[in-house]
Amino acid sequence: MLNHEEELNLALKAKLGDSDAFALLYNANIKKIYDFIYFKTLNKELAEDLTSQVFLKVLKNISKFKSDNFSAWIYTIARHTVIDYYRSRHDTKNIEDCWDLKDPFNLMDNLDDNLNLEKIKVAMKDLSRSDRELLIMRLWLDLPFKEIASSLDKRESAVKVSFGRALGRLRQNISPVLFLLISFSTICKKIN
Amino acid sequence: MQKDKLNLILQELYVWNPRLKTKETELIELIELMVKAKPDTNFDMAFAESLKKDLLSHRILLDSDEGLKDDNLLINFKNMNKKIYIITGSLALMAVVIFAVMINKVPKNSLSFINSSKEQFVAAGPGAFGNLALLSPTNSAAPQETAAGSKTNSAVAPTTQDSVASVGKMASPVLGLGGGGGTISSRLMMPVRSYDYVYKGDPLELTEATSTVYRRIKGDGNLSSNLDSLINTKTFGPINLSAFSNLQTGSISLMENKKLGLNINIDFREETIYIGQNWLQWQSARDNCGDNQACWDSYRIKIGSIPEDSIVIQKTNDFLAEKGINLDHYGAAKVDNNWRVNYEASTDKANYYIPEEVSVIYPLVVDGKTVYDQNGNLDGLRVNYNLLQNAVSGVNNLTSYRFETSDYNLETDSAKILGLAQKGGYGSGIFYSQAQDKVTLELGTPTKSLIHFWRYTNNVNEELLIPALIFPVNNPPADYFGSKFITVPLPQEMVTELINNNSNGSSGGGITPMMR
Repeated sequence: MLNHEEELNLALKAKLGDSDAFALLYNANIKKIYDFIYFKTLNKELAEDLTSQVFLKVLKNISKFKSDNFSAWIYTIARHTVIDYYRSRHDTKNIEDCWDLKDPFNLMDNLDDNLNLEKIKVAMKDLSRSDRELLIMRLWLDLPFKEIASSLDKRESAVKVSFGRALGRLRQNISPVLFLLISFSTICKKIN
Repeated sequence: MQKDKLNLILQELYVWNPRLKTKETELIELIELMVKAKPDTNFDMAFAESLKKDLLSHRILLDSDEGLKDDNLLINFKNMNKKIYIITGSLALMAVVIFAVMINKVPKNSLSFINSSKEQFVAAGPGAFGNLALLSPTNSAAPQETAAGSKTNSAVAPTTQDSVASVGKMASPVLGLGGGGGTISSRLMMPVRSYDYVYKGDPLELTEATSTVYRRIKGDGNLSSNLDSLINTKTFGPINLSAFSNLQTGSISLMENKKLGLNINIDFREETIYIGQNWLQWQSARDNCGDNQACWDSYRIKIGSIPEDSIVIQKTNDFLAEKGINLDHYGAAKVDNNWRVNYEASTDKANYYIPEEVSVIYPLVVDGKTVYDQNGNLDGLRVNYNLLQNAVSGVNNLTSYRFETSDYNLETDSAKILGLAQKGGYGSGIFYSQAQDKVTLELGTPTKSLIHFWRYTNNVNEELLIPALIFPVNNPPADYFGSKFITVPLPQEMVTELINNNSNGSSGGGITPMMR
């Protein structure tokens, strides 16, 4: 994994026309960006299509890259690509990812296999997009707070605060009965 | 979830809010639930590799300030007038989309098929290009310029004074050799003089038993695949192109919509770019003068108004630099002044029609060897400069620079080579077998280089660069309109074929070909 400085250095080289540097940036980011988009679309084909669009945009616009934070830049492109996709296909302007849809899961590839997701999907759906994204980045993409902060162009401490609050809201959104069941299940496992 | 990761998250949260520690169990349950709920993204490495290949297969480099650079392409469209329209079709949407792609995928600075990241010479086995005997003069001829909008000037050089006069009637003459092919009008074939050649050079020693033949690589689909993938998914106006199978872009045509604008025709299969005039934007005497002779005269070039060669070359150099056309593989530019031979021979210089364009040639250099045409003239990038408008009006022979290489046996019998040379070399006797006059000319010591041949085989137009000797004609008379060089290809099978042709009488014995 590239650190911030390495990534920035490669981005500047790519900006000057170094295709090898672009390839390294691609290698370092393709899965992260694909996964990020997948978690916002829950559909493999769509995620691949939008990921392709993201990297094409990166390629087309790298010469305009002026930030000192490549990670923030590419996540911004990915985020906006997803938003553009949903907003161009639905009447409402408020949809930013599949979780905002009335039924975000009807396109999902492997819903039947994922009972845990079934348990939290409503709670996740009721979160704000920024809360949801923060939980996804930390717990599903397994990104350190430092990198999340970098990608969101925020301070690390602010991201931690937001993450804690997002967890709290997720907890509130999970039905008390369900959470009781989850807790009971956890206790049983510990006893066993 | 791994315990250390879980602990890390918890510790980070406690730093922010120590009171959360009291709800640790609940936090752990929540986090673990979230982690377990993580959907499988089904990340496909094949997809990643494919996308990477798509992005990089064109060796797309990134421009310093304005977007993409694609070294597969030859030219910097951004330095063309922005109001370029695609005229491949009448559908505006298609034009807009393709234009957007083109503009976004071409570089600001030097663009070229020439690309250091891709191997320029690919070795094939010996004799890989088949029997070169097929490259007989009757089989091998430069293709005619077919690019849309081309009014390329004829490649025919007149051969007599009478034919010189007829040049003035040609539709769009150019000084020198013109560019990109042409036809031979029977009206230009005047009484023929036969030339015998006598070798007067140094003793000829041919010690090289084998040498490399080059075949230009083209049409591998890389250049157009960006457009292909775009087009294959679109519905344009009344047609759904995605309903067709495996669509590929054969060529596109763009035009500058401005005064003195140019057409750019890109042939993806041949990997060539042709630039010519957008005739809608170039005013001519035909457009403006009607029956007004004085007006027509005002459009005629005077001999005294022709700029020095160095000035013309500077102009064409500036044009090529501005358009990002890479000259790394071309030799020093030279103005084609062959037209002056005809002018000097003319008995009525005042009425001699001086074509309005001058041609500058940048000779192609392959593997350190200069490339010539079949008559020993420099071959390569040709830029036409319009003297009336003081503007570049065309670029021909802008091609990819990638070659397959294959070794062929060379003829080492100098007697055979000199025998062919003294009969006029390659292409002798094509046009006439009977001559009215016979003149003997001397040949000097030859130089070895490459000659450009075309071969149409299996529905493919191949371009081959063949090792050959180029003999200078040492003592051409003032009224000599023949070639200043005699060329003899060196591959053994070609030599044998030429000797057989001569012995079968298909060669006229030293008639200089009129096509230059």
